[in-house]
Amino acid sequence: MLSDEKRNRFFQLLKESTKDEWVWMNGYLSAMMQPMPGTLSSIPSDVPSERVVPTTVTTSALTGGGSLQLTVVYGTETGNAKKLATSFVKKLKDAGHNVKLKNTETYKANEFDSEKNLIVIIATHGDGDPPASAKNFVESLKNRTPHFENLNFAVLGLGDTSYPLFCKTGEDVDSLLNNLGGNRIIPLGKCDLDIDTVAIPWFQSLVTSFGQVSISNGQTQNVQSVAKPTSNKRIVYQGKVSANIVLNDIGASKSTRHIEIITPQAIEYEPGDSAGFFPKNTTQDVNQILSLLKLGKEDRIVFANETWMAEDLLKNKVSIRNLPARVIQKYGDLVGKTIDLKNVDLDVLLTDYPLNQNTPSEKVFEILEQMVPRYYSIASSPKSHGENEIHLTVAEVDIETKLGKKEGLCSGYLSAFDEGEAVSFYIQKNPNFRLPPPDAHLIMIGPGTGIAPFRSFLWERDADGASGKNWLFFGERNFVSDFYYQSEFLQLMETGILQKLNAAFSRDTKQKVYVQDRMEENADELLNWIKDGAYIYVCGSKDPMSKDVEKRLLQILEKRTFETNQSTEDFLSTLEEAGRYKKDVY
Amino acid sequence: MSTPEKKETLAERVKRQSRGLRGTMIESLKDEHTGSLRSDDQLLLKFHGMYQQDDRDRREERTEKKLDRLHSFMIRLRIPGGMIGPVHWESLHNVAGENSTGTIKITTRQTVQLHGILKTQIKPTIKAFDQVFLDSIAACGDVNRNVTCTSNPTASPLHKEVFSYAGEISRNLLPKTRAYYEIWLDEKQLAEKEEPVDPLYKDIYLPRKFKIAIGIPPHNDVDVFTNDIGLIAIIENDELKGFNVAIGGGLGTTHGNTETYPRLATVIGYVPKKDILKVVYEIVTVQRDYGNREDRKLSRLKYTLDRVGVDFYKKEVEKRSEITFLPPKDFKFNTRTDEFGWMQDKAGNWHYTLFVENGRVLDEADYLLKTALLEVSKTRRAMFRFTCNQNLILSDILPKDKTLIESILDKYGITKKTLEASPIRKNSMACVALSTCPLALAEAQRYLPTLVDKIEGILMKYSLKNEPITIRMTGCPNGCARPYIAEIGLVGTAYGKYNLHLGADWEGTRLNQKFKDNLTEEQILNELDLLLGKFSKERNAKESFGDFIYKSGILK
Repeated sequence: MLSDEKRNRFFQLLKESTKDEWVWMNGYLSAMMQPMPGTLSSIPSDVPSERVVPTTVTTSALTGGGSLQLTVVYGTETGNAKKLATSFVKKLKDAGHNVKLKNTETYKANEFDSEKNLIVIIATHGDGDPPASAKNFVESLKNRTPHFENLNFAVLGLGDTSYPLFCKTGEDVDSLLNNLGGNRIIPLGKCDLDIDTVAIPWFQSLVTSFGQVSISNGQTQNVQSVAKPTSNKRIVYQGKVSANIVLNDIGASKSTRHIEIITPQAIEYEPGDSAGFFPKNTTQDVNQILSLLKLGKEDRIVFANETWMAEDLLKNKVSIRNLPARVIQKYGDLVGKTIDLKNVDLDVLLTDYPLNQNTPSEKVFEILEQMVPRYYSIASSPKSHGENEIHLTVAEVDIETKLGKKEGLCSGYLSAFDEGEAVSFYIQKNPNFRLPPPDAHLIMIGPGTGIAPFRSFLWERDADGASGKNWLFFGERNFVSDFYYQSEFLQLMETGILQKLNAAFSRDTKQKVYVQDRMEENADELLNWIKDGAYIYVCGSKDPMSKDVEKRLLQILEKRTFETNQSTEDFLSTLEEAGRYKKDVY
Repeated sequence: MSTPEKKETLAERVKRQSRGLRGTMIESLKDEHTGSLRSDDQLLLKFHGMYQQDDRDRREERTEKKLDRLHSFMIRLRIPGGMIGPVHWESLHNVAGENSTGTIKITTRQTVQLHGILKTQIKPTIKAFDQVFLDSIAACGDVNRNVTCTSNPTASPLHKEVFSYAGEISRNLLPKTRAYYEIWLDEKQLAEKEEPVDPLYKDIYLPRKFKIAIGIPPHNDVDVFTNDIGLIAIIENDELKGFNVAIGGGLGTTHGNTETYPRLATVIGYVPKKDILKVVYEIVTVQRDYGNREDRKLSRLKYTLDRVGVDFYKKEVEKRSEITFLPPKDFKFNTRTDEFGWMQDKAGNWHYTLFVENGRVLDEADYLLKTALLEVSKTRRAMFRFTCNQNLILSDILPKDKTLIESILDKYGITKKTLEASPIRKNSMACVALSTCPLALAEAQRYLPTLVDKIEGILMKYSLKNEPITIRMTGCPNGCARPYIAEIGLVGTAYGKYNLHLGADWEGTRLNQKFKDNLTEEQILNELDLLLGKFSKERNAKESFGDFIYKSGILK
């Protein structure tokens, strides 16, 4: 529309301006397009000397495109992408576009063919993986062969720069769409935890490229916060360990700890959330590696554009355990060998494939990545235990490596805390694992450390006076020594909060029993609860527990006498969609 | 004669509502969230011969770990007269190893106990015992308990006949309910209406425990006068004629409650043997009907007897049994202690009495008693008899098998241990107390052996090391190890503290008296040092320590 010269000046101006200045420009222009309330419908000759309040949407199509057909599809892990997408859709609708909001979870492969303008807002989970709900979406793009005839797209990724593969899924989807012949409207946006910083200008840029001048719907202040996700800016709490006890009785074959951390300020968390920790590497590992690399503790190493002392770097910053394939591969390149090891620790790698004599040790640090956080479901209830503490249930893990036994990194890190020692953590919200409504019945299946969020749930329900019935299935190795929080559950049974508690202890009998066996033994009652609208939550180990539990649940549901018009698999899916079947498994 | 208008105690309500001792036992066993039974069922369990216990040593730490108490169960077998065969012993050995702490505890009333059985292991334990026809019915609870009988096989050539009365009386007084078989052995329940009311126990059972013993003079190893009913076998011209009947024995007291006291049974008459079962039965029914059901501390037959009077009680028994008591016949008891080592009976068969310290059969680093006894049982060449002094007699060994059994006993050092243990140690008894008995105020079986070590030192000092003194210790005043009739009785009052009782006689016909309260070990040893010193200097030739103290006047 604009002449080249004007367009260049326009884009130059935008390039030189800050976000706030864009907002001002936007507002000014939109006001210029509008008749002022109570005046003649003519463009005022005065230059506005203060901010105005833009009102309704204008659909004047400077590009001549008019109302566009758009699909905004979100792939979310914690709910942020969905919130953002929903907010974008609202703005776009207000701007007069024909917008559909879709979820990657239910997005079918053939839907791509009917898209004209596809906006993808997609999170990256953990170490470069798509969220569970977006797995199929990404797969279907990977597997797709026919090119897109006429598809415009734009991708906004959500991620966490704590992880090396920051916004990888966003990158993947962006490049997949591009390689399949799509037209990129604007470049990929990559949001860190402070989503707004990138999301807002990105969206503005997107909208601008549609030819829209305004997408206002209210106060200028509102425009500033286009999307209103709760700020995901990480609050790091400085806490103190106030208790660290082994829950198992003497003679147990394993060790699981109950750890309490108190903080001076109130912690913002809900039952179902997790606490994130950055563990430190062990002195043993650190010294081993210093020795293998022939480095002194105070030798200077550059890592991620910062200078560190070697010991400090190894202890506090880099990830040296369970190295991912990409790092091992890079190391292989460094030593000029093909390395067949998987998930090894750095000390094993350096021992089996030592650096060549003339390769400086610093090179190793160029391929290492920074420490990744570990999460633990919170076992305390804010209402029952107060807002200034969190409780954790941490299983100590023994790992066999070529160089001997090691403890799990974060479980070892947390287990070693003495009472009174300082520890930092942050809250990882888990909006997909919340308490159901207070009057709903709740079935909880939480063997081992999977018990943690259910302890939180029960104590919260106790504080709330929730009327819904509660049924807990717990499992571990030995009854006399491994019945975590038993006395608390007995108390909750006595006060009528917990109606039923079934437990399976796999090593007490010759034939092993597990939680799913207890479920089956109580199949009739379980079906009654489900018929009455009960919610089913599973927490704990993913493999094999959650899979075995689901298999058995399906077998039990097969015998139901209600909702028999659906297949059992469909019935379970219906429950899942209704939020009545949830899993927090690892 | 029960008066329903009076307020019913918890125990009475639970018994009455138990539907023949069934309660909600089956549901309790299914509760997966706890190793405990529901509270009413804990009371009823006793009638099935078991107690619910917990490891008191672990209580504090388990609370910190948010774990329930470490609940476990004690099972006591019903073994009238205390004799089982080698097949039974082998089964006992295996069941103990499989389901309990492994230690087999010989009790002070001629049976055995296993401790530390988890709730999930109770049924397998009872089923295993059932395979060899052993049960635990009425070994505890407000019913007639194990019937004891003088265990010394050389006591009399008529021992076998006397012994048979123990079994008869036990069977006669068993509860008739099928509950035990339904709950533990999965017997199918008949419709409840079909089970007739128990003619003896009805639905109220007895007000309290009931103990019966048979003594064959001159052996009073059963401490016959400490029982609710004590029967003294009267043998004339090599024939068992009948029994002297004594009623009202019982030792339990409550610290600080002067309404409670130990009492020895009163001989009320003689009954020919053909009438004895009927008479025993009606003594029980009179206690059932007249016993105090409002205050369990005053429920034993001794209190009933003292309340209604001996004459009244005796007449009531005569009325109900339609048998008149004859004047009691003469008898004499000489001893209560076991005769250790080998002895041969009139038929030529051999018996070996071995010393088992506090009745505990287990394998320890340097003494593999349990292994030894298993080996003996596997020969199938000896019977196993428990004594009321917590010892074991390997009995009825044919002359040709004596060497075989002897070689096993020698191999494991049993002969040596029995030979070398001092008389005072061999005459020592202690109840279980800590860590499993919920009533224990102080240690008993875990402590007495070391105290005896120190007392032996004192005896040595006064050249008394071969003096056979009876010494008994309990962790609480219930007196399960009969401390009130020992020459030295120690009754726990608090951790590390005991009341010191002195002055019982040798034969078991005179109670001791409390000498001092709340003594620590040091104080106990000081007192005994003084008194044993006096004893060594001033005694008459054959005078027992108990008699010496009694006559000395210090017990005023």
